Amino acid sequence: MFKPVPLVLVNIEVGEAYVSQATAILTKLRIIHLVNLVETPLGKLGYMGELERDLLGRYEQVGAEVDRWTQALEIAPQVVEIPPDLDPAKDIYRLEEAVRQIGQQVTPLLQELSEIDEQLALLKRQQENLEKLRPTGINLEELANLRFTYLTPGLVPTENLAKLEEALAHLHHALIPVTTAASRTVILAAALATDREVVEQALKGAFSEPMEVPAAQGSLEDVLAGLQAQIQDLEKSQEEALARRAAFREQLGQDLIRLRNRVDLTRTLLKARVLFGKVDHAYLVSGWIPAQLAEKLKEAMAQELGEHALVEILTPEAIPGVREGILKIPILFNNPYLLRPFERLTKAYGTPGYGEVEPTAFLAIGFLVMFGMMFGDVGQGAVLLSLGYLIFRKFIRYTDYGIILMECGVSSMVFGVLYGSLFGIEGLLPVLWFAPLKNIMYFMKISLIFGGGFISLGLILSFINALRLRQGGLPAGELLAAFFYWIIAAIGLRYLLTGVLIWDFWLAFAVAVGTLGLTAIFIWQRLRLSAAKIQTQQEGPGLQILEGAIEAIDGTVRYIGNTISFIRISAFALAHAGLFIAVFSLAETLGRLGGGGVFYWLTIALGNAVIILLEGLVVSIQTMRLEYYEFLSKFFHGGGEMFSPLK
Amino acid sequence: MALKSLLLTSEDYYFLLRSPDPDDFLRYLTTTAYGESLSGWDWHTVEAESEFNQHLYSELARNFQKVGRGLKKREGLFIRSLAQRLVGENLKVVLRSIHRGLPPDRALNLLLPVEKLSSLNFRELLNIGSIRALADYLARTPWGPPLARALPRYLREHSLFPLEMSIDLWVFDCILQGRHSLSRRDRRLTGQLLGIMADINNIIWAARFKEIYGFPGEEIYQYLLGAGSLGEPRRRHDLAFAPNLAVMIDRLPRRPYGEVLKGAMDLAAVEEGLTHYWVKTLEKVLILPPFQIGLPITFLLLKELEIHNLITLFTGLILKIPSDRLSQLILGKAAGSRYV
Repeated sequence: MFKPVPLVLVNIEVGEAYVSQATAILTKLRIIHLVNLVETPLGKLGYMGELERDLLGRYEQVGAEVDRWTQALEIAPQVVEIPPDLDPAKDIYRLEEAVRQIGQQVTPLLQELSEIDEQLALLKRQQENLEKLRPTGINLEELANLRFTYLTPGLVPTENLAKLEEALAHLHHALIPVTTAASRTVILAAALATDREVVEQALKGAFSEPMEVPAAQGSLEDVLAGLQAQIQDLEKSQEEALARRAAFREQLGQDLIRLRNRVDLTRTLLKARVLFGKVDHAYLVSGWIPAQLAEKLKEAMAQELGEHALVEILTPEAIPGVREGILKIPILFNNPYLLRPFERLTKAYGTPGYGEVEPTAFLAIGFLVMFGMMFGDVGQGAVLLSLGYLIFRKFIRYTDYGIILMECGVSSMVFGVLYGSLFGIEGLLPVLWFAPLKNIMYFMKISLIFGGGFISLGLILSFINALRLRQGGLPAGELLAAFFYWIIAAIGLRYLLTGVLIWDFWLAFAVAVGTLGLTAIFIWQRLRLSAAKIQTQQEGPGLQILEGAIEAIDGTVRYIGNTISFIRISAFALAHAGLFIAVFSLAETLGRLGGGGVFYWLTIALGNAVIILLEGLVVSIQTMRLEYYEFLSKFFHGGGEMFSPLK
Repeated sequence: MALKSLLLTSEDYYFLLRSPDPDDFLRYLTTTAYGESLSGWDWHTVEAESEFNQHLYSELARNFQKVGRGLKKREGLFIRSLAQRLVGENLKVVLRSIHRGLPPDRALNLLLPVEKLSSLNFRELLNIGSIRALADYLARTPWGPPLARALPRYLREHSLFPLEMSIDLWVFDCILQGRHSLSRRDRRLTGQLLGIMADINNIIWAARFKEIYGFPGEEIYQYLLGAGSLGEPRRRHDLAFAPNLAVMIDRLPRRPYGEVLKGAMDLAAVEEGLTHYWVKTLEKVLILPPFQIGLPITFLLLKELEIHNLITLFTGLILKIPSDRLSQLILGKAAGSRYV
C-alpha cells in the first residue's frame, strides 16, 4: 500500500518475422509498459525505432472509413479477438480493398436513404404549411399565375404584425391573417407585383418565415391529397431501404467489427514499434511489467512463439541504467479498492518516483478525517453517502467520485454522531464527544494536535524517502529543524493538555542532549560536504554552518506555522455550525409568516442543500490545501512516470 | 517455410495489377518475398528497368543457391545443372556484345547477376576482343565444346545463331545428364518434366524456324532436341518437314499437344497455348506430396516465370499500359499459396 507494485524489466528479442505476433501477445496481455529503447544506451549501439508515418496514415484513413460504414449501418462496437498474424505492410492492402468493397456495396443505399430523408422532410414541411393555409381555400395554381399582384404566405411573430403593417403603410397592400399558433400568425401578404421587393424586405424586417408551398395545380385539397400520397410512397421506399440496410448490417456487421479491431490492433502495433529497437532483422522489445506477472509473460511467449522469442527478466537493482538514473521505473499504484479513487489526488499533485513512499493511503485517511471534522453531521453525511451511491451505480465513468463521496459521507456521519448533530438539529442525538460551537477552544486544541501529528508524519516520511532514495543519508538540517519542532510541539502539547508550562529537569536534559548530538551531526555533515566541494564552493566551512543553522531555524518556524494553519479545521467546522444557526433563524422567521410550518421546513431543507453544496465544496478545497501545502510538500519528490500498459 | 509460400499469390497479383504507378507497385512488392532484394532501391533512374531485372534475377540466383543447399548432394547437383540455363543466357549476352562490338561497360548492365552460380568471370569475358578468342579462352571449360562446334559456321556466315543454338542444346543436354545422378523415383519425375519441356521447346523452335527464319526442314531437324515424346527421329521429322504451321499442329499427337493447340492459327497462339500448358503442368507438380525433387524444380521454374511477370508489369506501368491489358500477359497467377 505504501509502495508501488514491484516491477521488473523484460527484454524480448524477436526476429522481424515474429515481431507482429509478439506485439499482439503483449497487447493482449496488457501488462507491459514499453521503454523507448532509442533513448537508452542501446540506442547508441545502433538500435533504431521505426516510425512508419505513411503506413500509419493509411491505417488512420482505413479506420475512419470503417467507422463511417459502422455508424451508417448502426453497428454497435464490439471487441473481438484478432489472431496475432499481423503483417502491417501487407495487411493494409487487404484492409483498403475490403473497405473499398464494402463502400461500393453500401454507398448507393446510403445515398438513397439520404435522398429519401431529404425529400420526406421537404414534403412534410410543405404539407404542414398547406395545412396552415387551409382556411384560406387558396388555389396554388392561381397564386403562381398572378401577373399584376404579388401574393405570398408567411409566418410572422404576432407582436411584429403592427410593425409590418406600418412598414407597408405607404403601399397598396393587404395583410390577411389566417391562423395564429404559438405566438406566430400565418398571413397572406398581397401587394402590387411592382412592389414585390419592398414587401419581401418588409417581411424580412418583421422576422417573417417564408412558407414553402409546392408549385402544383388544383385546389388546396387536391394538392394536400397529392402530397399525402407522395409521402406515403416515400415512406414505403424508406422502409424498404431500411430493410436493406438491416440486411447489410447482418451481412457486413461481423466483417466491419473484425476490420475495426484489426485496424486498431495494427495501429497499436505500429505505434509501439517506434519504441522498439531494431538492428538488421532483429527487434528488441523492452518494458516494465509487474514482477508477479513475469512468468505469465514468459509462458505466453514460449507457447506462441517457442524458440523464436528470447525473454530476459531483470530486476531494477541489476540494471545499470536504473542506478545511473538514465532509466526511469514507472509507477503502478498498489492500493486497496476503497483507497484507489484517492490516487487522483496524488496524481493531481504529481507522480511519485518508484523508490519513494507512495502517499495515497495517507492522503486518503487525512482527507476523510479532516473532511469529517469540518463537515460533521449525520444527516448531511447520509445525503452525501446516498448521492455517492447514486453516482457509483448510475455513472460508470464517475465511479471514483462516487466512492469518494460515499466515504466522505460516512466520515461526516461518524463525526456527526460524535458531535450529536443531525441536519444541524441538536438535542436529537446525544453528544458523544463535544459540540463544536460550545467547545470552541477545545476544538482548536484538537485541530492543533491533529496538525502537529500530520506534520510530524510528513517529516518522518521525508526521512524515510531520504533513506530509500539514497541521497547521501538523512538531511541533517531538516533533522535538526524537525527535532526543534518536536521539542516545541511537545512543550505546546503539554501546555494544551495541562494548561501550565513546566520546565523540569528531564525535559531540559533531553533537549540539551538531543540538541547537542544533532548539532554535532549537522556540523560534521556540513564540513564533510564542504570538503567534498572545495573545488567549486566559494563559501568557507564557517559560512556553510551559519547558512545551515539559518535553514534549521527557518524550517522550525515553518513547521510551527504549518501546524497553526490546521486551526482552520476548527474554524470551518464552526462556520459549518454557524451556517446551521443562520438557516434555523431564517426558518423560524419565515415560519412565523404562516403556512403552517411549510416555510419553516422548506427553509431547513433548502438551507441544508445549500450548506451541503457550498460548505462541502469549501471544506474539500481546504482539506486539499492542507494536504498539498502542509503535508505533501514535506516529503514528496515526484517526477515519476505513470505505468501505462501497451493495449 | 514452404517453398510455395515464397511465390506470389493470386492476391499479390491482384494488388500488383491494381497499382496505379511504379511507386505503389514497388511498395507492395516489398511486402512479398522480394522485400529484401528491393529494400532501399530507388527506381527513379534512367536504368530503372535494367536495375529492376538485376534485383529480381539476383533474387532468383539466391533461390537457386538456397534450394540447392537444402537438398542432398546429388539433388543439389541437378539444381546446379538447371541453373546453367541462366549461365548460358549470360554467355549469349557476351557473344552478342563481342559480335556487335559493344563497350564492355554497356554490356555489363545486360548480364544477369548469376556470378554465384558459375565459375565464369563474365566481366573478364566481355573484355575479350573476338568470338574466336572467346572460344579459345573457354576451351578448357564445359562451354568449350559447344562453342567450338559452332565456331566454323559462325566464322563462315558471320551469324550468332549457330553459336546460340549450340549453347541452348548443350545446356539442355547438361540438364538431361544431371538427372542421371538422381534416385529412381526422382529420375522418373524429372524425366517427365524435362520431356514436356523438350517437347514445348521443339514445337516452338520448329514453328519459329519455319515461320520467322524460313529454314529448310533439314536444318530445323538438326536443331531439335532429341528428348521428350517428340524427340524420336520420326516425330522430329514430322515437325521439321511440315510445310506450314497448320500441318505441323495437325501432325502432333492428339493428346496433349493436339488439344492444347487446337485452333491456334499463328505462332503467337502456339506459344501462348504451350506456355499455359507448361504453367499448368508445373502447378500440378507443385501440389504433389513433399520430399520429391519435383517440388524444388517447379518452384524454381515458376519463380523464373514470376520474374518474367514482374518485369512485364513494371515495364507496363512505366509505359502506362492499362492493367486489364497487362493482366492478359501474366501467367501462373495462382502458383503461390492463397491467402485465406
